[in-house]
Amino acid sequence: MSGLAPSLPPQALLEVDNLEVSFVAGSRIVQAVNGVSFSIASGETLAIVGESGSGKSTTGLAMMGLIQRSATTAISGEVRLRRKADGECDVLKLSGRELRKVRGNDVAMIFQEPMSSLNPVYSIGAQIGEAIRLHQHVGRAEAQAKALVLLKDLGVPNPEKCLTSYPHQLSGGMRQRVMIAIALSCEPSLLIADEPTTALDVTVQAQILDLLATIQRKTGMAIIFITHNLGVVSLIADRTLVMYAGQVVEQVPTGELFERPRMPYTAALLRSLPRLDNERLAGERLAAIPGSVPNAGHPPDGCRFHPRCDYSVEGICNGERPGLTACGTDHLVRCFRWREIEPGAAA
Amino acid sequence: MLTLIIRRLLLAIPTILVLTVLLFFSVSTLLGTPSSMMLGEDASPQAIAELNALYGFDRPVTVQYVDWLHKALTGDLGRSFTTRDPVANSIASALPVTLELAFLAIGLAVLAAIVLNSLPSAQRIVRPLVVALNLAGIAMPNFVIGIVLIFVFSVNLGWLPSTGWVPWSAGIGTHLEHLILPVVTLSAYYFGAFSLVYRAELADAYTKLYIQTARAKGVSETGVAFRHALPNAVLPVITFAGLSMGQLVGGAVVTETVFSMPGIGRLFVGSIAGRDYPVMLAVGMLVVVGVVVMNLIADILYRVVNPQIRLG
Amino acid sequence: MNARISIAAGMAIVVSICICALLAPYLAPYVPTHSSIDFLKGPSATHWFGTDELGRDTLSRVIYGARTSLAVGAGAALVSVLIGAPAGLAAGYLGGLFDAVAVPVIDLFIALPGLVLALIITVMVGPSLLNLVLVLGFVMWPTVARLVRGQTLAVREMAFIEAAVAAGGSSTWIIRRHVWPNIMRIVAAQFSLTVSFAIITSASLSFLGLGIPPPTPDWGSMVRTGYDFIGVNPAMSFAPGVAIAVTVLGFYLMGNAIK
Repeated sequence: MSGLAPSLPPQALLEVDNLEVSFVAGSRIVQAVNGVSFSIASGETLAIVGESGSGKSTTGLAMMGLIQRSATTAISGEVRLRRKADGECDVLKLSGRELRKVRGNDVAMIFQEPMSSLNPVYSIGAQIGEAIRLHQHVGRAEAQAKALVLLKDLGVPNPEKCLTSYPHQLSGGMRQRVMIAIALSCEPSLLIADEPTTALDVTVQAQILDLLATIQRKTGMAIIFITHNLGVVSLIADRTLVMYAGQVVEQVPTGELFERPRMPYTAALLRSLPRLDNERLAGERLAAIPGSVPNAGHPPDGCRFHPRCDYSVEGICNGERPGLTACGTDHLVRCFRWREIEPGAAA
Repeated sequence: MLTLIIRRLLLAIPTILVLTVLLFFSVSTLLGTPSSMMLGEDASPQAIAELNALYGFDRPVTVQYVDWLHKALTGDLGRSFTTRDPVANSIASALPVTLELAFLAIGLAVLAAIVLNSLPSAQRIVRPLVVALNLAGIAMPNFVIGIVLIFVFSVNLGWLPSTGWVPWSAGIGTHLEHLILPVVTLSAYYFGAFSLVYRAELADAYTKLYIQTARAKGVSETGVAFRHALPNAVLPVITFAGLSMGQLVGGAVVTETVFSMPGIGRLFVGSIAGRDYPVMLAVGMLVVVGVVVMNLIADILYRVVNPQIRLG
Repeated sequence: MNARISIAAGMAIVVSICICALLAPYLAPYVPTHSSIDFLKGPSATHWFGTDELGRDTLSRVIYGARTSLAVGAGAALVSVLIGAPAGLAAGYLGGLFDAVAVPVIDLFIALPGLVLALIITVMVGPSLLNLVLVLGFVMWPTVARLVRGQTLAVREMAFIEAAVAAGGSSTWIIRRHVWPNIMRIVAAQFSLTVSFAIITSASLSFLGLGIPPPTPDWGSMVRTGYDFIGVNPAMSFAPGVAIAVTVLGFYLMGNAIK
């Protein structure tokens, strides 16, 4: 492709441009990710929120080039990344070898299940060591020394023993710390965390989140935090992306998300959170969102959320597809009726 | 761990004893006296009785068994009826041949199954070929494979010899050259069986999250295949291989016959044809003991190699 | 491998072999035991697979050989199921002492090499069609028993058994009405696999000289005699060899597909 390729604005670290991922399932085409665009700057934490099936995990995987193109999988769009070693690249267009240089080095990812994210047949030291030696030219002993330092910094008690242990001998929280150590071993500029605390209990959750925040302060690393837990989002994210049925439906600084959501779906999500200060507490059920996530092979006409939306209007919401429009500073929403409604005010 | 091994060992001994007793008794009762076998059915009852007395076949079976066991433990397995050689000697010279054939065959089968099914690149070309070979190996009887190989490589192309054994003294090259066809023949079935198990384990391993973690670290597909998936998928294959060593004897019997190899298998077949009772019994016992021992080793090996069991 | 292709191929092969066996007198161009002076001839228009050392038509002998192979295969499989299925069922359902004794015995028999066991026993009782069927059935019943036992244990855990017991059913009634249908499929699959094993093993026994005595056409012994003439007339051993392989493949594919 000749001509001027669009390039990153000076302060952006990563820019996703119209990402689309679709799979063939049986006889239909399923659009898992449908035109997602956003950018993230150094030192920033961006949360991607949505129910399961919203396409948030797929977006994360696609950003690492972990979704492989095949006869049944199609990816399009661009994921522009500023490399550590100067220059830019489009992750989706990299060759295998170049992609391997980016993964673990420029961008790292941690996953949801610490139980099965680590290879059961290798010791912790070997697995962290592998990550180090893939991108840095050091010997085995030096890699182990670096791994030890990493574990110490992450507050792992008795790090020497941890290095020689096997995954099944560690607790869930410890394993996740090891995963973080692996991810950070080559000082990536971006960390993608896919539900890293969902499988952990609440106290450990808090520790892990604290850890990530500390590291970010020290190194200026950007974090993309994928989760369905709005509580976590409120604690750590600067900006939030809300996804529904493969699309971004609201993009806003986190504070404003909680105070004044403009997308009915976001408001509904907030209402379904159990809250201690709610007068409706005694004897009332949680306000779950009626209906269920649309079948990805057969999305509804018009706005994909309209069948479940309290504010949908016949003729407007089930006709054309809404696009993302600006509804405030730094605030995008995908709704035709944003001017007329205040979904956050309903109580 | 150690206590477990010892317990298994202690369990193995009575197992062997029970099996050898069963073998001895069934052979004795079903064969009538070996003397009638040796002399033929037309022999006079008197001649049979004389021979019985001479060999002690007229004693109660239990006594015969204890006597046999006692002698066997000291290395005296009697003399062959046909060649008059001590059975122990025949076995001692035949055993290494069979063991070499067996180990090479299993080794080849394991190696081929693992390597050929692990290669990530060119899977579209390699996999159907491997599956076809697997099916051929499982469906075609040993001897058919052997005969086809001989026909193609020996008779027609003249590349390889049609017998399976020359002693090491004839030179390592020649020795191994003669072994190629029999080893391939014997390993064919196991290549198929091991491939099936391995592919299933591999498919399961690839669904695990640690594969994704490895890719996210920047490991290449080949690295993922051989360093991450393989170690997790290979264990059941190894165990299966260990357990197959016992079954292998059956295959070895046929292979040694096709390729005229002086191993235990051919010794056994010869003893059957010649009604050579001591040899038959000795080889049968050997097989029984061998199978129990191999199972034991495979079981121990599995526990040792699997870190989850080893470290608890 | 595509499941549908395997089922189709397996069934096609099995049906063809059955047809050969049943309609042998109509399909074979010559009487299989009829010797002639045209011995050791290669494939020709009059003898599609050539002739053997006694001038008998190889094609006819291969077709008639299907009878022997199927008889042995199906017979042995039947015996193994008749012994193994009830044993496994009892062990799995009744448990307790019976099971504790049965399991090590079964495991041991499975570990022993089938061919060697079959060899030893056949030597003792003498080779004949009936003996072969019984011996092979005896060698295979532990595999069936273990499979059935496993399935019985799995099914037993299911809640509806408890429901049936609560409704007042006796042990045998429960086995018959609830447990057995779930096991049928596994047994059918194993039956097919046992046939393929029996055919290979009986062919091996024949090859070693312990099979059905001549002049009955039997694929294993045909390969054996053909081996001596491999340079002169390869069709003599290839034809029956391929027949064995194809038949075994057919039953194997069908067995796997049923599972």
